[in-house]
Amino acid sequence: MYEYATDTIHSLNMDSLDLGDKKYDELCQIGCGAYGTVFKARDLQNPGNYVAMKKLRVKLNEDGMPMSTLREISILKQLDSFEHPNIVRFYDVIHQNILSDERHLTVYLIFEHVDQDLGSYMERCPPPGLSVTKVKELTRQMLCGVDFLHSHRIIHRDLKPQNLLITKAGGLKIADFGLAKTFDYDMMLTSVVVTLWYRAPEILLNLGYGTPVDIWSIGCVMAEMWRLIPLFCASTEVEQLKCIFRVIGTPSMNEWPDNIPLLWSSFEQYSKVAFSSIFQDCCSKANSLLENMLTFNPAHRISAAEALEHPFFTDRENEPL
Amino acid sequence: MERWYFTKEQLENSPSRKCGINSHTEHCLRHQAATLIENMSQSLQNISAKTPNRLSQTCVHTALVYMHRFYMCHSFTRFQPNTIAPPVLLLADKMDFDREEALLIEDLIHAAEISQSLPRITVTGQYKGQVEDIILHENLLLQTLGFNLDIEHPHKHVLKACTLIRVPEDVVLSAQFMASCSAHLTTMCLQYKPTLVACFSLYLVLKWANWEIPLSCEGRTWFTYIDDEVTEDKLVELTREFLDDFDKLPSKLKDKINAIRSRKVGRKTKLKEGKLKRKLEESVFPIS
Ligand SMILES: Nc1ncnc2c1ncn2[C@@H]1O[C@H](COP(=O)(O)OP(=O)(O)OP(=O)(O)O)[C@@H](O)[C@H]1O
Ligand SMILES: [Mg+2]
Repeated sequence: MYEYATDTIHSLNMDSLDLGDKKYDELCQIGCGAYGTVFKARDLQNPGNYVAMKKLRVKLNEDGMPMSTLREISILKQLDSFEHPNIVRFYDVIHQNILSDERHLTVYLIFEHVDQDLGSYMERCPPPGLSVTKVKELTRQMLCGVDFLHSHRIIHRDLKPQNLLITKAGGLKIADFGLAKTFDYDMMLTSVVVTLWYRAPEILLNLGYGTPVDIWSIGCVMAEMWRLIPLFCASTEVEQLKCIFRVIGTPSMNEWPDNIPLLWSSFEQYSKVAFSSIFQDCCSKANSLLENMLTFNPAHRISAAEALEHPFFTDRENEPL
Repeated sequence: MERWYFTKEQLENSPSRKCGINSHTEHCLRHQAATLIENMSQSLQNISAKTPNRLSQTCVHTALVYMHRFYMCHSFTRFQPNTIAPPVLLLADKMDFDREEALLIEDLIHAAEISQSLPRITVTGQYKGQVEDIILHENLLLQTLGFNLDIEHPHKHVLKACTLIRVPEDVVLSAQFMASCSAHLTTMCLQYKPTLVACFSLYLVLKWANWEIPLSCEGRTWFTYIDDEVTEDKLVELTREFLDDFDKLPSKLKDKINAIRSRKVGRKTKLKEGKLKRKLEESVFPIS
């Protein structure tokens, strides 16, 4: 029975080649993230077009293809049908014919190729840095994209400059969302160090979390656009929390969550630093928005929809810097 | 999605036809596969070790659509219905977002045995082989269907139409049943959009009941509210095709369909207040 089945699959590869293969011509590797490698490829069916192929290894479980993988890919497809301007287009899924080894198979997710990510965009930004208008515009686009995801109950969980793509026209598009359950920690490529810099305190503290984690990350990215250096950078969870508290102040004992292993008393008592002293050339409205996004308690953090209504975006008159 | 709609000519040039299976035989084999899927879903209700595996009507419908699509890429000479039915159900169940836990392959194998009156497998090696077989074919199915796994069902459009024209519950149920039958007895899901199939299902039930639905106060026929491309001619055409297919098949479904046909559904039932969801209070259709 088993031999028969394997046989069938092998002989079948012949006919199914034209179904999946050879639609894209792999050119070069663009990046290597926590869950897979990204390649740039030529789209053979649309000459002159390029795609980004994200290669992932999916672990099959005893009941075959994991349900979460199937559903998440289907959600990616559904979301794509809205063609939201701040979400990277998702074109296709291709998966390898045969099991690459006993229990894994390789899946390629095909996305539109965008010229650069926000990380390199900031790196290449000549001195005095990004203008207020530019920061405002990019932050607004981030919030629009995230508001869209949140309204479809998707939490990104990993917003950071490398997952924010900047098009030639200066538009911002969010990449790598919606694969939360599928490509969970046990699937990560172990050699890749995951950055903690944009992680919300509730994630660092291992608490349950929801959509507010993305707002925290947007706050970090917005601050970084201003200063062109990351806001909070540490390499362990505890160090990262200290870094955060040095700016927003150590939360009071009342605010400290119950039943967590990390003791409130193990943190030094920092008092809150005035945001205007960190972001010297930032207007008061920008500072107020940042403060609302970088709030320790996720329940009190501003939502994406609320943030878009913040005076930083809605007030017409240009406040002097 | 265009990829999964076919012309009559393309249907006539199916992979099975190229392997020497004639049109009628393919029709019967598709129906056989559909029946097996249906029977397995029934068997599953009774055998689960844990929570009952109650597959919804729409989940079975999803499985039927996967099956029909699969055989537009592969021939029945290569893949027997009993090889394809289990992985098709497995995949449809995983894509049913209302279900939190997926079916166990163990239960699926058991259901396949019951449905085909086969003895239970007792040898471990044989059992493992069957599990591998289902996983491999699930993989093949995914490759064939290309992760186009979201299926739009006619059922929800049937419901919408029924609410719009306010018909009694037995008409609703009969129309839903006809929508399901369309995937058991025909290849409509490979040819027509779910909205058209939905209109056809209700149209036929209304016709058998001799139930005339007047034009709306906007002077439109009811089905144009479901899909403005649907015409009476199209519905007549689908009806003819359906009855044609229906006549050709020996099927258990026939009795139930004939019952709907002759019972004159909905005729004598008085519309009970509150029995039907009156979502469209301001409906453009008067209560008939
Ligand atoms: N659609 C795309 N178009 C162009 N470049 C892309 C695209 N998607 C990703 N990239 C590039 O590939 C790099 C690596 O992406 P990848 O998502 O694998 O890693 P990452 O973003 O560093 O980490 P993570 O896995 O946490 O998202 C990104 O930094 C980005 O520059
Ligand atoms: Mg990424």
